[in-house]
Amino acid sequence: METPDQLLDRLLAAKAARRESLAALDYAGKVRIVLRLQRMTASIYALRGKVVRIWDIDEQTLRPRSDASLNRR
Amino acid sequence: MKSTIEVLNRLQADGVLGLYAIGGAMAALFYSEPVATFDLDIFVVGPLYDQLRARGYEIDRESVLIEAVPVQFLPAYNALVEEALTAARDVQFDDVPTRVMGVEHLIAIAIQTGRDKDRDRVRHLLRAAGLDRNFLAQICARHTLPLPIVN
Repeated sequence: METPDQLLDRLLAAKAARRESLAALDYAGKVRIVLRLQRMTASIYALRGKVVRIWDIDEQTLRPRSDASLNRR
Repeated sequence: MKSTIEVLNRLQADGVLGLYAIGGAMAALFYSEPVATFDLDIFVVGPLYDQLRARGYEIDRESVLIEAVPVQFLPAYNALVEEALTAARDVQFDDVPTRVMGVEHLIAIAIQTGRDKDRDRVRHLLRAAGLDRNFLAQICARHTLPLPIVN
């Protein structure tokens, strides 16, 4: 039977492997994850009174989602 | 973000922007796992906010919204950052060329800056594939920074 220490070692190893596989993604794949992380964390920041701006770009094309007037006044 | 980099390249071609390099969390992303970030930090030589404002870009709390991405332009504020900017690598983001600070310089800048999130970044980047520990040691020695301990 697995001891608590063995269980912890196994979980930490799995976590490290997960980080390694994320680090090995191509840059565009990582940017897509950043977009999701922005959406996930923005509401948490808002609860703390911090205003953050989520990038309004398409997750597939990584280009602006709507009209180009976003760029300029 | 691809469109943002294309605009940066166009500004550079037009002579508005000189040498530039991606730094901060979005540069760290080249070498380690993704973390939440909301700004694209671009290190540059010289001020350019006035020129960007003149071209109609919206400037909000020191960020310039370029193709829906808030870009923070940071001057190369000391010798280490200048070196990092000059030594930045040419990379391709899909088919768009750009420049990104090297992992060794990102670690050194994070050590120098020293906030909690910078210490986290150092820990993550020390695990980066392709990290040249001798080069990192040279940079740290040159800029009188402590060499990070690898666990």
